[in-house]
Amino acid sequence: MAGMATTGPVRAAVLGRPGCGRRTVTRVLRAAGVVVAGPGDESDIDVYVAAETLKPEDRAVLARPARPGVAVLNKADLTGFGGDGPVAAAAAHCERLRQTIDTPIYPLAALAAVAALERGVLDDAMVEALRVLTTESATLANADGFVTAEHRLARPIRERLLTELDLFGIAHAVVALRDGADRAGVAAVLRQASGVDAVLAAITRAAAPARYYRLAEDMTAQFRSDDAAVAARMSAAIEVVEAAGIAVDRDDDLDAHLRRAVAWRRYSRGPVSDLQRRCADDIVRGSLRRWERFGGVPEAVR
Amino acid sequence: MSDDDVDALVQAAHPDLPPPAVTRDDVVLVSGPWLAGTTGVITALRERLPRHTFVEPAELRPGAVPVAVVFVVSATAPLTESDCALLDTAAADTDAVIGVVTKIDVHRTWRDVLDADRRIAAAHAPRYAGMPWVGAAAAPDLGAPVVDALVGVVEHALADDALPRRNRLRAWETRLNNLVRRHEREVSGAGREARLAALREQRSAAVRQARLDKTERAIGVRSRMQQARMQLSYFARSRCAAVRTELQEDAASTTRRHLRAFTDYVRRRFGEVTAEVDEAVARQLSDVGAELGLPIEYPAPPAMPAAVPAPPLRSRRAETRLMTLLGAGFGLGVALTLSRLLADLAPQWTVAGVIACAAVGVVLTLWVVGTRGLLHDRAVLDRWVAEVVSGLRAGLEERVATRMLAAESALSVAAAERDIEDGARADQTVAAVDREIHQHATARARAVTERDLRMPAIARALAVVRAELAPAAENQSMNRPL
Repeated sequence: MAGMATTGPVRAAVLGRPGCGRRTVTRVLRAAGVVVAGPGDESDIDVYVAAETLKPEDRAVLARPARPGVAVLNKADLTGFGGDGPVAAAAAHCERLRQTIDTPIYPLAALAAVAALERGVLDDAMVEALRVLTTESATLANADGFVTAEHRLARPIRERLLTELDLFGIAHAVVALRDGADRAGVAAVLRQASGVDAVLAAITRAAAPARYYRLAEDMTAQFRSDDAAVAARMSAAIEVVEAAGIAVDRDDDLDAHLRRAVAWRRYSRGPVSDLQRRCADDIVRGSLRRWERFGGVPEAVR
Repeated sequence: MSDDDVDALVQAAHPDLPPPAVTRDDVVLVSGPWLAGTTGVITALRERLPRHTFVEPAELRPGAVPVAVVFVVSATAPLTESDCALLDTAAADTDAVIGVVTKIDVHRTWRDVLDADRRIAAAHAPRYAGMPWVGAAAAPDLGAPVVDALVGVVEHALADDALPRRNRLRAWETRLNNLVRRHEREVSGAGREARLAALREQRSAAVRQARLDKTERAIGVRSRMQQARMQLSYFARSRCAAVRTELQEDAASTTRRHLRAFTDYVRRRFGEVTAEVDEAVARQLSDVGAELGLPIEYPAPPAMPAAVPAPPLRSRRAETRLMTLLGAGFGLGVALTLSRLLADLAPQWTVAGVIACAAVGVVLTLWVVGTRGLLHDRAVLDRWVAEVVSGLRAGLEERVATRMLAAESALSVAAAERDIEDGARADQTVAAVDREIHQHATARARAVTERDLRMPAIARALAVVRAELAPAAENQSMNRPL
């Protein structure tokens, strides 16, 4: 694939229009352990950040992706409080958008995700301020009102709450604290509410081919074909085909291994892409090794 | 202050221009990109300003333009190019444009977005530099709508006495700009350059293809004919070799009685072989013609080769005499030996024995003479077969060569005719392409002339309109009688 780095960890590039939250999404990804490519670096997958909806500019980029990628509908916490809440509304909107683009798109409340994942955001001062809000409620109707209204909390800490959690994060944190959660509990609630897990899972899926290529090239370079290497290639290959939406039979017994080897052998002979064929071959090889381990005896075909 | 005054002002600079074909409806257009919050804003404005009519783009009559435009964008992210294009379309014929940044209740950074929007719009077109921008929360989830500032700005804009005049001027400006763009487009011809490039490519492709076809055809005729000649000569030679073997075997087993019939048989076989070779030649030639796409009538095969000469079986008197003498000596010797043997064994049958032995001697003499003659005839036939078959071979090779030569010249003539046809077709294509290129050049020249003729007047009119619209001149022009 063009422009793809061939060594080191799989790198993601964060793209998008200005003002949609690329910087915050980058913080989320870094906090979650994803390696984010700096400007000018080569990358393996693209994370495209949009907000509210897809504009013609976004569609133009997503229509011709340079690399496999994931689109993120950021600021999902601001989609409106009606129905099941803003993130659910954003998810429903993503569902509609998915019918018009090829790239998978997921909602994300990036500020809440940063607060949940990044150390130092939910510090003592923040938790203390949130505890105050559990007993003395403040106006959460609008952002300006939260800062300007009269309240026991000092204005700087209210401003900080708003900047780092936004109304959505504050509301979820206050509810969690009222229910008796501690700091870790608040972080878990924010993580769950932000939708970040679906985004990270999608990134993992999108990065499966890049990871597979890395592994295959490393092993070819080291001339490794022992059981461990074959098993590793097989599991990377399974990730790739599963990311493409094909189910792999994961049973671990004599019959299952032979059955899987036969099925994927047939698959690799079909009209499939080069990557899929290589993955199918690796699954066949790995399955036959496991089959031999389970006592399968190969016979010569006449 | 009416539209007519403005029209007269502009037409003073460019008398031929018809006024913009737009009807101004007394409505305010509320427009914006998808999900920007247009519906919320229009509902709020209808409620707060019932004296005025607010419409969405779909509700605007065809050909009608609004008195003011409220352009709604979300506070989620700054304006994009596509938003600016939408703004241009919405505000093409209307001077009063108000930008609204919505959803300010949930977006804490709405002021930054508003500033960015103001900057982006001003950078997109100078006319938007003075455009008012306000924040609004027309349909908040919680709390009351925040639309006071928006209502104030809209009211102020609609209350401006200069609005109709400025709107008319803006419509004129759009019309004049479109005219300028149309002239420029006709001169530069975005499609024309591409079309010209395609035409040139088509022209050179036609010439190249015709030349290539010609060469390919000539090479094809030559190589296929050489190949056919080689195959047919080989076929003729191998048939001759087979016939010689077959006939020599027949000659070795022929009897004295069948000597005449053998000669006829040889002549018949020769006729058959010649027919086979002729048939192979015809088949090969029709294949070649079909392969090269040149189906032609080949000349008929020449007449059969000259008759086969009879074998030289006559005139061997000396040999016959010699053989008779030797045979007689042998017969006499055998008769004498036998009669002596018989006289010793059975003296009583001497007379009868002498007669019988003489008969045996005569029979032996005749057999020796006859057999020797047959063997001689067979040897002669064998030599004769070899000779006539080599004659046949030479004849067949010559026949093949002659027919191939004739066929090659016929094919070359057909190929040359085809070359001429193709050349004529290519010439036609090239001429058509040249004609179109010339037409484009003429159209371009005409467009340049047209532009040079019309541009100064348009530029004058545009300068008048812009001067009237310029913010600096605003106050003076307001009060100046037209």
